[in-house]
Amino acid sequence: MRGAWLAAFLRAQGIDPRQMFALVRAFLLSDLRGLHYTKATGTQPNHVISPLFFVVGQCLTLSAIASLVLFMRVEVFFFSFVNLSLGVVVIATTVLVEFQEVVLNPKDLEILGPRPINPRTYAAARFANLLLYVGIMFLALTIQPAIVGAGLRDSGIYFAPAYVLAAFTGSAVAVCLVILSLAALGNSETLEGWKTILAWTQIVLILVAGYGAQMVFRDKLSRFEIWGAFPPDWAAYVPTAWLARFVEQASVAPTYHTLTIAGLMLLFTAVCLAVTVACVAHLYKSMQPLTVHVRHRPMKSGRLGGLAYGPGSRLTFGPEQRVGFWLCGRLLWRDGSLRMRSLLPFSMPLAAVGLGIFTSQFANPMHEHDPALVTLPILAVYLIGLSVPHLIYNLTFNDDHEAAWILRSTPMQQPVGLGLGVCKAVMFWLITPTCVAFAAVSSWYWNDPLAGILHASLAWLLAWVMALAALWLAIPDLPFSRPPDRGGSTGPVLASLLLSCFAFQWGGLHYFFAASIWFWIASVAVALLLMIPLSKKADARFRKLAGGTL
Amino acid sequence: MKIDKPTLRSAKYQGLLIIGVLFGAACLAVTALFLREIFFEKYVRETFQPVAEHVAARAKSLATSRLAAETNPVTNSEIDALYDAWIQTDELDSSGMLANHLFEINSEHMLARCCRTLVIGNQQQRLQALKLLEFAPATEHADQVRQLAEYAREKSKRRAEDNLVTAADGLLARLPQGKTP
Repeated sequence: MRGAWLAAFLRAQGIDPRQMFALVRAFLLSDLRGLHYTKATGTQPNHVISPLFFVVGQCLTLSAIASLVLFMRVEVFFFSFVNLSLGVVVIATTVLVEFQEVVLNPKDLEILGPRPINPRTYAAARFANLLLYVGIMFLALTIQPAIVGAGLRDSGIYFAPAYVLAAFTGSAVAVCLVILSLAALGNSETLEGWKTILAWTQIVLILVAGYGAQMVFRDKLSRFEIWGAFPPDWAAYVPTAWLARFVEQASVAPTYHTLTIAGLMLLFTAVCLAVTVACVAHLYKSMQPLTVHVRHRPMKSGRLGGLAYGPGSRLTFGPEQRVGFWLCGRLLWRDGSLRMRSLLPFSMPLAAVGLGIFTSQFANPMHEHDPALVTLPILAVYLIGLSVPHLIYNLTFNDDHEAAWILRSTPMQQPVGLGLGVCKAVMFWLITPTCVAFAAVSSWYWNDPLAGILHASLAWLLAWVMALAALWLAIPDLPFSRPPDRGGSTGPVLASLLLSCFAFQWGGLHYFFAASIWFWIASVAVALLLMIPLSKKADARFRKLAGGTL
Repeated sequence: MKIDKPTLRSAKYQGLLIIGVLFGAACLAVTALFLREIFFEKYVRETFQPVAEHVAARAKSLATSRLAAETNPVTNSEIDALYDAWIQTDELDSSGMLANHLFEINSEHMLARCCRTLVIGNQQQRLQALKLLEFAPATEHADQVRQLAEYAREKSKRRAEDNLVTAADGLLARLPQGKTP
């Protein structure tokens, strides 16, 4: 009965109900497969757990961390401010990342163009899909703060409805702004690259929330809570702060004025939604098939077989190393997903340094022996090295893996050169700048340049040892030769465990003997000695992977 | 009905899975509310080192006689330990001699410590911090003290902590009105 009423209503609006429901179903399947989130979550459309489920899970994890860490530690305003800000940022990036799947996809015309579907039906199906998608994200980001916040000591009975209203206004306006901006910008290659990176927003925010929670718990000066209690003047200009003030007012001392503000907020949201619907409906009517542009960039004959970048040529020996070096730099630069997956392990040393400095637990291990003060700086040194096997392992997986047949069929005199080239690129582009930054920060913080340089040099040397060990133990195939798959982001568990045990034993010696010059001399000697057997093992491993040599 | 991999991958089951997770998240949030007092609130307080015997003795001597401060002046490194003792020990310094002395040595640091206690401390700690603020130099730091007292008053009023509201009101009444020259 209800279905018949709905069908009659849709027909009265000039919408074909059968076509609309079929289209909504197809769009929903497309949402579940989430093109960009497939790359970020490592989940494929054929897996039982869909990428959309992972995105919802990430939103829930993020809001759970933020809500539970702040619960009872801060007041209504700051609790609402943090959760509303997180919600708005995440929902905006979610719509931005999956804009084509959720809002507007010119490729639809290739399938739907020849079929008798009127623009109204198509627009209705698209809007229904958008509503469902944004609704799920909104619920995932709002449900926990709305319930948990109601239990704050200073919140009243109106907290939950006020929070939901504020979150709805913030999310709806953010979604409208994203849709209108992207509709105005149109399709662009640069935007596609950004979408791949933005697909990692939730994962990065979860890391920030996780490490941030550590900071909140460990900081003896409670700077975060004090900042929230006495926010700086500029915070008053942040739109989510206005929404948080509304939640505070509604939950602490609601008046008729609060009710008027709530009505105005709803009116403003309705205006934004109406403008967006009108704009997008116009776009649906005027949608044109996608045109593909091909770029030809032939290489100059003089550059064939060499590397355009000077230091790259000087660092690499033999064609295999040059190929590895060039491929690594090129693919890391081009493939945002690969870059994000590879850079993720570097969040740990970064967090150790940040956490150490923020909580005043970053003392110079050469002068200080209190474990509470030197654990984080020592950990940072070894975590830089330990991120390398994970990174090298990740470089096996790549979107353009089908081109790896060229590597497999190329006659190579030294197959290990390919891996060494990759390692040298990693050391040159990532590890060296990281170590230079570490040396600068620690020298400044410790007021001891020698200690800073020694620690950074040890991190660099350890990273090279780890890179060689990774070539032997961690990589499952030739570099860039496998498709990205689930588990790619977690890294080689057994090899990581083995190398971690080794690195942390070294770290233990570091703690006891950092003040002695003999520790540093012995460390260099051990690292140099380890390189000999590791190079041989890596060579044997690559001969096996390449299936023999010339 | 057979539930196999293709069935689980269908839009219907994926939708149900998402609804199930959202429901689970709501249950987690409700559980947090039930655990508010026994888990969350229990750990929300400023952590202080237990008062060592020599610190307690020193605090007591400074609170009872001005001579102790003159013969053996309080150093900057002692301030935090004495502040911790002040907050943790009720009726340690009813005359305010020790508090006055601490504010004389480093009033900015003492105000920062009081601010921290008022923001993250439990009810008892915040009450002690408000009592300590009564001895802050009102003419020199009137604005800072007023800001802290108003913050403490608002926070306590919202939480229906009447004793703290009264203490904050008393402190605000004692502050000089209008702008100081």
